[in-house]
Amino acid sequence: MNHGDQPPLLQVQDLRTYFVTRAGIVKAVDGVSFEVRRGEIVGLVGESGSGKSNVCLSILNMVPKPAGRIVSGEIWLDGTDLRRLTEAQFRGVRGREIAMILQDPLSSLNPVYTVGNQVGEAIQAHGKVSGNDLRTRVIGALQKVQIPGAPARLKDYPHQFSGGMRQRVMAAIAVSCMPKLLLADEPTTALDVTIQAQFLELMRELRGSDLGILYVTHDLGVVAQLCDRVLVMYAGQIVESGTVEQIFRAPRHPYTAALIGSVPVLGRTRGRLYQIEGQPPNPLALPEGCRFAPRCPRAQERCRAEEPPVTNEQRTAFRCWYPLGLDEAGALEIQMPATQAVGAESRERWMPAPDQQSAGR
Amino acid sequence: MIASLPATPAQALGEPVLEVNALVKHFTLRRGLAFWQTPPAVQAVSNVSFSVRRGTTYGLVGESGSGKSTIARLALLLEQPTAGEIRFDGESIFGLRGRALQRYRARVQAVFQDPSSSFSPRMRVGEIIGELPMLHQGLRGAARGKRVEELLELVGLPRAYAQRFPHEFSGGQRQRLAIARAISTNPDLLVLDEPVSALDVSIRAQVLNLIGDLQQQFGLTYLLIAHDLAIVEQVSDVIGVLYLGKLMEECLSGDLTRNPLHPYTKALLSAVPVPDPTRRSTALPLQGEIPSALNPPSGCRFHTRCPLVMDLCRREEPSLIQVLPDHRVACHLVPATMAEPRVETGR
Repeated sequence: MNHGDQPPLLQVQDLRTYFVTRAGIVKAVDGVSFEVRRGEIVGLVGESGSGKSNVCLSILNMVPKPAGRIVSGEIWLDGTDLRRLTEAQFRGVRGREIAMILQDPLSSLNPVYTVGNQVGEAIQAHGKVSGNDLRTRVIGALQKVQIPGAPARLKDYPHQFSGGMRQRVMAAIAVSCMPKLLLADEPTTALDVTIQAQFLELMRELRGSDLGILYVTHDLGVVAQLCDRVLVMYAGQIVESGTVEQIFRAPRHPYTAALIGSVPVLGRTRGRLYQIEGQPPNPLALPEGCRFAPRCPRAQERCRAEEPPVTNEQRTAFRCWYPLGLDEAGALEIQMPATQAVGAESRERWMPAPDQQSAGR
Repeated sequence: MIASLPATPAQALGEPVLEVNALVKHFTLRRGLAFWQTPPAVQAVSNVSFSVRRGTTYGLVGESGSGKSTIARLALLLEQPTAGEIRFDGESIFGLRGRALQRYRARVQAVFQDPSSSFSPRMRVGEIIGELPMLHQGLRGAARGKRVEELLELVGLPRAYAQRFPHEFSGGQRQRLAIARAISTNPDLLVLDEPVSALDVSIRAQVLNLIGDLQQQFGLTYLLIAHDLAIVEQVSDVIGVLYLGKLMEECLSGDLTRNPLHPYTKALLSAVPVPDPTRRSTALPLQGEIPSALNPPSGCRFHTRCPLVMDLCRREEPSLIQVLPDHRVACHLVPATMAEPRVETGR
């Protein structure tokens, strides 16, 4: 280890989380490595079933048992090997060191306890606080997530809060013990766009200089607006990782490029969207070789036979035998609204492929 | 008949198929009230008027509580309006009875957000898709089977799937089945209520493209309900922006980002996370939350969150005014700014 550099806050090495089912073994997370630094927001993008939520559960050692099991890999948090902790020791990590925000706050909050009670419970779980001190800390936590009129709302129940405010309460519980790492699993999926924008702003403020955030989402727009780096997951593996600027300007993996190309963008000219044919693979019958090969327009013989290794470059890493070149992928264009109209051909330029049927347009 | 070909650009979009006129829908609450109290009402839809032209897509966009789904349910006769009417081919739909009602149900079909909850788990795909052709066109036996295969092919599914059950399909395929069922009666109008919001990103593009292809192939008219502005813009010809049961702005799809006029539309546009890290929005677009439809704000319903609010906005409700060809806005500021484009915000 380089002593001059500060080690990353979270380091995940070759994590494998499998589920044993009657039909066979599901490799939900299959050889995932990444790191999150202090004050960094890392986006974890993928479609349903890609394994992104199981990455979070593995970090918290909360993979559903007995079917699910972390088969191998290392998870280091700030110099501690989480995989070596006993369950009793892990209880001190959850909440205090690593906190989590889930998609649906209504099912995470208890309907019969007041919000003040539930935020206080989280604080008390990790330290001896009571009476006025506790009240002050609860109000402080609610104010930190900008809940208007926090002192007056301590005695309100979750159903008296709106969806956006409930998610703020979850954030208040999450940051009340000043964790080092925050795992956010699709926290804004259920929120309206104007409320989502407010929540994203809150995330930016919370991270400050110390908090590392792993932000799980399927929304590429949120990633582009919020994150510093991105991890793109497909069928249990990270197929590409890099800085947000790099990934959106010049994606190297065809899946990343296709994902970006298939999202409608406001203000871009109308026309057919790029569509990825087929569906994500059945986790019980993963294809030989590259897992994206059956859907990939650039796939060759080698892709179907051999699994591509991780190629590391300066700002990116990807698993692909025939990655998009930096120049060709750079053609991805996103147009500013209320400016020049972009011709129909430009939306096809994002991913030139030898056998793409629309290449002639 | 041949003489009435479209001549002017306004007519080029086609004649109105569905006309929504001063539509109002209130849901009355009764629980927990003493008998002398007037029951409060959720004002889900308040005086909304628009028309959908043949062969085009009208996109209704709004946040939760804006009333967009209530309008869809009214058009599908799943609710009765409090006031106002909806006309289909010139005839009020709420007065339809008997044969005429049956014909309306065949001509107007729907695709909902979650197709798995609208299929019977015990019916095979062939029965699900063949049910409406049997009821409305009297197709039976081999003729029905042929029609089912034809429909499956139209939505890009193999013919053999007719023998399967709904649970054997993925979300995207199920949405294809729902579309196949919706077009099985040869409808004129499809009401698409959040048709892709439950689907994964890569599947979304497939279904959106399919919806577009079918429209071209059969000249279908769509009423699209969605909360995602980018998707509405991608598919629609005309877009209506709803807020708290009111139509705030209506314009051609291309004008939505090129020339948004209502402060709410502008705020909504800036709140959409753009998948481009070089265009990060820094300003917080809107403070606060959508007020309750039980007790909507006086005057303009948006005034509690509007950054440009004036005294007039709190007192008087702006009406939806045509300010440009094919562009209607309900805002006190807008007509002033249109007349004198130099005046800052019109105040």
